[in-house]
Amino acid sequence: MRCFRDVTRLLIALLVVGSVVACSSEDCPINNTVLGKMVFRNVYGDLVSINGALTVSAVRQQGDTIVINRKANASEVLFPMSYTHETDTLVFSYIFDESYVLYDSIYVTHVNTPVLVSVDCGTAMYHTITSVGSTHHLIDTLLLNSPDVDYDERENIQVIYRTAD
Amino acid sequence: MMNVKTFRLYIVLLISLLAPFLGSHARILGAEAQPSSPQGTPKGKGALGLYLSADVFGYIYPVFVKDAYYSSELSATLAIDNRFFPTVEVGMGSADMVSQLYEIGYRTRAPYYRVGMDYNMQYEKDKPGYIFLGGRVGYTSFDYSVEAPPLRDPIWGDEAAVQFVDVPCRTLWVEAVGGVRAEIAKNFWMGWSLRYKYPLYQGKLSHGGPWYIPGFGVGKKGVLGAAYTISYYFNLSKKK
Repeated sequence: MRCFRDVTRLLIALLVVGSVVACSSEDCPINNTVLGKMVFRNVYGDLVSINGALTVSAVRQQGDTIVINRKANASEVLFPMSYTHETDTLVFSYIFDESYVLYDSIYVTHVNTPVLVSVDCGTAMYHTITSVGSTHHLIDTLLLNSPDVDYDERENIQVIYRTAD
Repeated sequence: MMNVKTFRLYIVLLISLLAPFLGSHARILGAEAQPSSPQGTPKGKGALGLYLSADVFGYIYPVFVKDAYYSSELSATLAIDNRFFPTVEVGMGSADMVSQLYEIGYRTRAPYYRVGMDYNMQYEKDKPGYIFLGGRVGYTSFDYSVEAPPLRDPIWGDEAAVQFVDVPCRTLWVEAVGGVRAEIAKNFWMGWSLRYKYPLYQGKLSHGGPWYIPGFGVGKKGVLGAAYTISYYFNLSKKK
């Protein structure tokens, strides 16, 4: 009888554990779109912020579209990547005041990989950045820090700015 | 909120899980008056036997849960001294389904293999049932295919096809096993076990990796599984 009691206790414990596991839902990503991340630094590697407002536009055949609108004192941006194109062009507009705006273009070349997140969470497009380039009005250089763009946010591109000092 | 199908599944599982205990309990109570196994299960040093088992949990689960995966499994287990149970398990796992939410089709079918050993925690007791703990190492090599609606780019407006055909994959995993086994009629045994599975090696995954892995289940990391087996016992001990 003691054995039976022990086994019954084990059964109840395992059923409780099993119920908890069975009732837990899968953690799906909150956003459906995967975004890359650019972080702004000076030539010494220190974090810097744009002294004004930053607008980022994606260049498209059907006309440019704004993806970030007048972000103040930006020190990093999350940027979208196209699902089918090899190279995306993003235009950075530095708005210091209404009469003084400077522009840089950033080129991101990448490989697109559709992935199955799960049958309950859907599909997504991951990217692997192969090269980056830019104009040099304010930007000194671009560094490809981490090429993989997926749901794990990481510092993909370092944008190195020329600063006054 | 638990739906009706899930509730039905729980009821059937509960009855199934209790069956070994009810059988074991009845045997324990009636052991003196009416021994149903005159030969009995060999106990002690030198005892040797063989269980041939079929896992029926893989057939029960998809009856109650739609869009589920299927598996069938056979195993052979040596019973050494009624204490050590080295075992080999061979199964076939398959999934051929379309998810209702995202209309994602997932298809795979492949064999899987496990080897390992259980340890009778009650080997000193003369009971027609026992609790065991053990471990397994599992392996499968399989292809899977996915077909899903195209992804629409929210910025550039293009559509990208999502279709992977026969993506090769392999998985090596380990399992921690715990469960019970009880004799319900002469030489017929019933048992269930819970298993915690953890992947050790999957190689380089493409397209985010598989959703369902034959023999392992659904999950990227640790997953919980269950087995419900019906066995026939062969006494291999030399008769005195």
